[in-house]
Amino acid sequence: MAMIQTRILKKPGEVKAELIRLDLRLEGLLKVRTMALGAGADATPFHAANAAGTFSYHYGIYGLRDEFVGDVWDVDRPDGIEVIRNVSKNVLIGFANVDIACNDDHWPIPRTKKGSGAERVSQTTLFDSLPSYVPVPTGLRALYYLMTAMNGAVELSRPIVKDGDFFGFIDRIYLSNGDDFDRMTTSFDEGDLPATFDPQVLRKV
Amino acid sequence: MFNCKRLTLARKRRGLNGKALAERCGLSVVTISRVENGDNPDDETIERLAKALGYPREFFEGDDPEELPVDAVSFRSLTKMSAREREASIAAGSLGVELGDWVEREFSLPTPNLVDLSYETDMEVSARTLRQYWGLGEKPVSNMIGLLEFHGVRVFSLSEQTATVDAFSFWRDETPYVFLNTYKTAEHSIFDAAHELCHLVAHRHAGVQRSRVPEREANAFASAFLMPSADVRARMPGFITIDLIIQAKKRWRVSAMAMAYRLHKLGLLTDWRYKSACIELGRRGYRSGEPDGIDRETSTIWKKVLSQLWAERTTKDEIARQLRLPSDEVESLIWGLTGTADRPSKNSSDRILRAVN
Repeated sequence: MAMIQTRILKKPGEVKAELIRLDLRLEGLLKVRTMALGAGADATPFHAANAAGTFSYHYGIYGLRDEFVGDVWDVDRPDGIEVIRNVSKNVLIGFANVDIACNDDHWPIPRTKKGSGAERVSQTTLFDSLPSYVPVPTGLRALYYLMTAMNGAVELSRPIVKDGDFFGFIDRIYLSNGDDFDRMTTSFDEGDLPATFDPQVLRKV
Repeated sequence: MFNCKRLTLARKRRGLNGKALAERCGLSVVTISRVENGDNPDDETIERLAKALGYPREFFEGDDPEELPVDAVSFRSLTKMSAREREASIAAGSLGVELGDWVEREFSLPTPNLVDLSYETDMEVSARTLRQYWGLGEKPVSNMIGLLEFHGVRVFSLSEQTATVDAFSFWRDETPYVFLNTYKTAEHSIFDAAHELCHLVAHRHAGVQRSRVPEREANAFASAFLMPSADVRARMPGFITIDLIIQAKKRWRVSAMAMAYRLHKLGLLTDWRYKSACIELGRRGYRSGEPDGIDRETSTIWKKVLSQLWAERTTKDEIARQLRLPSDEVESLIWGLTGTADRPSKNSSDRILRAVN
């Protein structure tokens, strides 16, 4: 079986060029990330235990379509996979919540996957600092996932999917390690006391 | 001399039609009609009318009441209101004007300082223009009632125990008046005040309109005035959760629903997320109320006026007596705006010594 090495793009210039090639915008993808994580954070103890992931997934798919569907990208669901599709380039993009993103030493694992902890440990050991190889893809369509981690790290990656798992990766495009997400803190009360008013009332003599 | 217009005013204020008043005071409908049309009633009839309406006899001996220009009165929820509720509210407006005139005879109040924005069709621009005119910048408004009073708007409370009357406003000569239903939540009243401010600056010359356009404009103005675009955009992260909306609403002193609406309007919440937020906020009780709400705003002017009057041993009942009004009417026009300050009695020994500048 012919094998190729996983390509990891993380330098801003190469990431930008690859996104342009795919007819995507970095800020749009980051917006989808933020929207999805925001939806996930709406889950309360009254919701089902997996609500955070479910909300995040639904809004991730919604965000992709809301942000990109138009002249180039269409809504598609081949074989039940909810994606957007670039018809001219035959590229598909879905959404996935993952445990860790943008880490060379770790393959992203879907957050809801059972046994992900054990897999994570074994993979870290196995692939630590080593290049990884995957079979040369044979399909006509390139299926990418916007893989979003809880800390805001997000990558656009093209996995090899086997038995429901990410078996390996052909491409990994690092979009954000989550630093920009951490900066999105609120500042509702910082140093700007609201104006106060004191209407004057004088007693007439 | 019995003033028939004052009978009509008192009847409407009590929310009664002629038949209901006739039943309440044991007179015929014809008698009520004749008296309201100018027939001079005898002493016993006056006594019955006064007792049935809960107004002092002297009230009916005053000059003609101020008749508000009905087409200049803007109601927040015009379409939901019954004619009886509307008449009762307008009657409160007439009494409020009498009370306002009395206060202005006794005290100097701020001169009205509003700008005419009736030419402007974009409410975002109107709100920003008025903020600039008043030098508010992008800061939240800490006290909407105080802001209105500071700029010369006369503010009264409407203690209407109904959800359909929010607020109304009008110009009388060059003096703007706002009546707020203090039965609503504090956040709702603040939004009402900003809504009425829009009517005063943007719809002054439009008269009353049965269409929903002025109401939509006033809501848009209130939203933009209370939650300035630049401040909201600068402070809200892209990561907006329900908990964050609840946190944010406290900064801008609005309801959670109004906060969510503003975020949606500014494109910070998508249509779908806005819909979901409304559902979740409703589930948490933010549609019917405002859990963990802010303190109710109070009137600085009325506090100062009452403090001074109380220092002079003038009680609410004395004010009512001078105005020939029932105490409950004075109370409903003022007390909803004065918080829970204790009132001294005539015999109180701990006089309020606070001087009024």
